[in-house]
Amino acid sequence: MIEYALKRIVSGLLLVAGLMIVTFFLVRLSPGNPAAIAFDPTRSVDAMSRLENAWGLDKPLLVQFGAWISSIFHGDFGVSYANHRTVVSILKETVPNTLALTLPALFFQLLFGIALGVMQILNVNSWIDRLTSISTLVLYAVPSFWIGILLIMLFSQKLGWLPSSQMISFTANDLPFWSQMGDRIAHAFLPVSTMVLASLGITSRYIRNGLAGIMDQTFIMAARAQGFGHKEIVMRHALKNTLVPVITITGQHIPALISSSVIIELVFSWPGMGRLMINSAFARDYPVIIACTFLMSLFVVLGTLIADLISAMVDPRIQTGRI
Amino acid sequence: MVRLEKISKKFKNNHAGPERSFTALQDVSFDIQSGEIFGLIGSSGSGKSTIGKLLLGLISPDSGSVYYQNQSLDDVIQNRKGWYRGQCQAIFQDPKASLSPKMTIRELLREPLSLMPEIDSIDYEKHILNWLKKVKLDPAVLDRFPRQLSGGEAQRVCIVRALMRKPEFLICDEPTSGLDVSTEWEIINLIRQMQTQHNLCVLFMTHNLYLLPALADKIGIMHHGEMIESGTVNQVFRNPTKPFTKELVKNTLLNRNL
Repeated sequence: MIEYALKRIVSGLLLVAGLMIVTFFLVRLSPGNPAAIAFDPTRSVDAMSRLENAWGLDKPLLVQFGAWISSIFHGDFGVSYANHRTVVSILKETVPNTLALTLPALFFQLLFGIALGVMQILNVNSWIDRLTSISTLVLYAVPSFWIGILLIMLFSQKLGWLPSSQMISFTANDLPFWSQMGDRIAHAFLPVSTMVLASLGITSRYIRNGLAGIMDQTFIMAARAQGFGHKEIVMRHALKNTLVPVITITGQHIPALISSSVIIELVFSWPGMGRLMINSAFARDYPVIIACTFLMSLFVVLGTLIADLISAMVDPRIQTGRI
Repeated sequence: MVRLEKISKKFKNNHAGPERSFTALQDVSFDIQSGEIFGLIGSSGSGKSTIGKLLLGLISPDSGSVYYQNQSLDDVIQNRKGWYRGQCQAIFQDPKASLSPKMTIRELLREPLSLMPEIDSIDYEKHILNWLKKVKLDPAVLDRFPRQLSGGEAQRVCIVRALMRKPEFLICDEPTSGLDVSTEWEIINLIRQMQTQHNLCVLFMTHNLYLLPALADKIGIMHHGEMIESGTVNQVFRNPTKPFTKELVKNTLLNRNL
């Protein structure tokens, strides 16, 4: 187990390192000069050169790369070109906001995905099963931003029940603690629901198909022959054996949720890492882009690593690659 | 006790090919009396397991009738399913695959008892230990998972699980096929012993004819979904009438020097 865990950790770290290097060169080779974007056109051209010099952009690419690597090892992600604040301080504000969306979304999409998958197997091949399959397939096929826009149109514009943007109302700071919490939950409701709906299809289908595969196995036939009913067999025997697929799908969902948070944060003007990344890309804010990429890839690698390690603990055959 | 009359069953053909369906059973008829062991022989795909599933009520025939204690099995399953599930139990080919991999042997053995309201849950452990003694299993297996048992131990657990419900009819679907020769005979002797002790009616399905003289009272030979020959062990062994049976008996006698 320790050997397997070490192998997975090393390969994860190598992946993150590789991604960072690729991102460094990709952003620098992309068209656009951050100094030209940040440059005040009323000032002289020298001012732009001084800006390039201050940010080290006038140095050869490999020298910039060396300086960047050395600062990374000191935990220094640099200063934002656009905000003139340290990248670490910006991330300290935005990362918790992104986690406030992705963690509840992960929890609820698993909860509802498992419930739907189980409901389908309890009513296998019935109209409930077919209708759920079609609905979840449609949800899976449509883009998440479109679901978000539809939810805003219905719940914010038409019904006026929920806020459509930001994390908190402007007046919320004056409210008592529980009212403030309620305000935050109301603001998070639509973006989290969008993320849950967009990923629900794949989870429920995964659980349904996993359970359907288990229902064909001999121990299920043996349990049926013993005298257990369909519901008891699904809940007591089959569900227990879908633990590994559930952990796997959780691990697989983390990258999808993080990448979808980029779009969802834009749609709902949510001040998280995704929106920060998009704005930084437009501003050619290299230090922020690279730091965001680093964190996102770290979350993805960590998520899949934890899922893989738990799967390996639950089913030791995974460690030896026998399944 | 159990009677099959002109049973036919077709399945959809999932494999590529011109045939949309294949015939698993064609006009199969036989009966098993109370306290009798009926050996069903046939190669893989001959229809033995389909008969087992039909008798367990897991599938229905396309035509023909199955009777249990002179009542149509369809009616029994429809009206007295719970009772029939207690009456008819099964042991399958792969003992480890027959046991839920995420449950300990103790949990697996408590399960059938939970279906018997007449047994108090306080007495479960006593019942389990009593059964383990009967089938000569070490109580240490109780805290293990199926993957931690040998094939023979797992099959004993399956036998206990089946017999705990006090059935009158036991279906054994190739219960020794994955076991080594000595374990195979241990399991055969155990089934025989349990059959005598509990006066069971047993349908024993196998593709090894050599097992049956020591076990079965009557045998039936299955070939391509049809029962081509049936009778007592002596009749079939001494006077086989069909070429397939003659070949089967000849090979068995040659191999086993019976």
